[in-house]
Amino acid sequence: MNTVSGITLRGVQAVPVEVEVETTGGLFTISVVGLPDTAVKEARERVRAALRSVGINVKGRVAINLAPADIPKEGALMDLPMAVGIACSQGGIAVKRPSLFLGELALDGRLRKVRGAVPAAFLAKQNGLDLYVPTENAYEVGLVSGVTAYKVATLSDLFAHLRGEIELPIVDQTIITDVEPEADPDLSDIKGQAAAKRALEIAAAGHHNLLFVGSPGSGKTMLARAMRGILPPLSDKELMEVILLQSTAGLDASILRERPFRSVHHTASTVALCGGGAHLRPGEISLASRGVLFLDEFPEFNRDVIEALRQPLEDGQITVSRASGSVVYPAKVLMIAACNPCPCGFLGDSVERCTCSPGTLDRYRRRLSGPILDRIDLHVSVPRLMPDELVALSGKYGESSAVVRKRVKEARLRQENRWRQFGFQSNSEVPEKILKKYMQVKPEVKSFMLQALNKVRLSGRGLSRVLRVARTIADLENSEWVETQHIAEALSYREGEALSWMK
Amino acid sequence: MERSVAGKKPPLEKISEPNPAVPAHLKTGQAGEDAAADHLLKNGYKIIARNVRYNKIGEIDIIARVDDYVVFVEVRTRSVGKIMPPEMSVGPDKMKKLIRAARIWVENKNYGGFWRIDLVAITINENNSPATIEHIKDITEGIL
Repeated sequence: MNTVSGITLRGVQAVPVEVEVETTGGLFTISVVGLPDTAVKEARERVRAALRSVGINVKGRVAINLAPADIPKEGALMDLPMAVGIACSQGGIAVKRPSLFLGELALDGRLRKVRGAVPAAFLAKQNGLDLYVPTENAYEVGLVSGVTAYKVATLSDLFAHLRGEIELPIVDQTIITDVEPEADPDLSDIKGQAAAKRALEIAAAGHHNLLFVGSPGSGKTMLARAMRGILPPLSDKELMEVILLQSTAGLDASILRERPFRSVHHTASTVALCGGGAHLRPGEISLASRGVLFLDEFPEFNRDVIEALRQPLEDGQITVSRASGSVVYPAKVLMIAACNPCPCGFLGDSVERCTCSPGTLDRYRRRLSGPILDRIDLHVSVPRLMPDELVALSGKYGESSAVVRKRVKEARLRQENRWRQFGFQSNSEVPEKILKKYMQVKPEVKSFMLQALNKVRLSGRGLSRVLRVARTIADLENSEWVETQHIAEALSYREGEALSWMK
Repeated sequence: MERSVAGKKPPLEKISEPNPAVPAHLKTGQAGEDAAADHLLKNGYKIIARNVRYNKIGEIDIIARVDDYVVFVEVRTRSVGKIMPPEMSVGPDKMKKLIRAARIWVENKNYGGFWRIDLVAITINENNSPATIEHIKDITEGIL
């Protein structure tokens, strides 16, 4: 096997790309074959200039083959392996151990940061390859333990290292900080809204989706942002998944255990949200995986954007298929959506009068389809605060985020212990079949459910969602049995109260 | 077919003789090429041929050898005071012609090694003595 390799990304996986270089006599040309994209094709200019900066004048007809030939290669991270390949063929450099190189070259031979360093580190670890990464990517690579990785600042350093003149610094293990993230805003900073806070806690505990409905200025956005502070920190496995996605998308990998929080504007396209594009990048729903996806002004989103969320919300992953291939991205998000009850925002308000015509209301309601609302477990109305609540300037209101987070963490632990044998983490993921089998329900609770079902029309999925929420509420109270009050509370979060205006 | 029987094929390569009665602008050119050859020799180039002419394609002013390269040199000479610098006078068409001519030479000589095309730009004084000499290597670089 050739010792010089680069990578290209397929979803969140790195695929090794062998770089073969052949030089023949003639006028100088570089041709790159093996399905390179424009960034790879343009690499030849950067590579030549960078090589000249270290005193290697590329000459003759240079043919670069990127194998395997049938996988499209993308991105500037192929610069470095191509430069090393040419240097091996013309500059008297030898790479003794099979190595992975990645980096974008500056014209003066410096190395620039690339996306995909973490997937590359996993690949290097799996195949026992040496890894050479730009200095700026070192801390991401350091998150993956058990890789022999070198930090490369410039091409000349790298060549000196390969000639055995100097020893490049090895990437240190990046230490993941375990400090509890600070809640901003803290739950206790939010005035009133006890019901909404309760819903936040349930959503955080069971990983349920949440919809806030309320008039402008009632604090929907603030509540959603407070969600971040009550979610327990990421576990090691989850953190790796999050970092892998961030590195693939070219974001700065977090070295905190804080859960991702992605707030998406309603002008977002389907591709931006779900992933895809010519080079198959993960979308916001994948970047928010294991964390919160916040969709403010929910009905303002394009209808097909919202509908595209249906399948990933149900499955916890999204398969993006394009002509260039199909990849699966994780999409285990907790979706928080916020909307006004009507276009003017004051329908059902206690003070202001709604000025919307019935026609406008009808159009507004039709933007939210039944199927998507059916997938949201908790529907919460966020009413306007009363003057005396608003004026209370001093002090804190209710429990702090830290207290709630502790309860959420315990509830999550209970769920994990219960569902581990089936491979699930939270109540919201568990399929109906398993859920029904393992729900401990007393006869009187069953009769209450029957009674309630007669009044509230629920779909099959609706019922199992109520059961899941009830299970989470019971978990929060550390109750082995799901009691009547749990079911009753869960039912109150269905499309009843909050969405009465829809009917 | 008809042409090859009827018409005489022109000789592919012809070394032109210096003409005693040359006009002034050609004299300038001649002086420039001599100065360029001197300059190349001084810099360790070995001159293989000069003024290699291919009909309709053009002429290669100097062919030289250095390191493991064969270098085809285009010499551009201008008098002092002309507005355009000599190196600006090689356009894309001339470049194409140079590459074609060089390729023919390479094929005829069955040469398989590296080669490149250089430009020597000379500005010349009134008395035909060179004022500045600039050697630009590998002028086709960047044209892929």
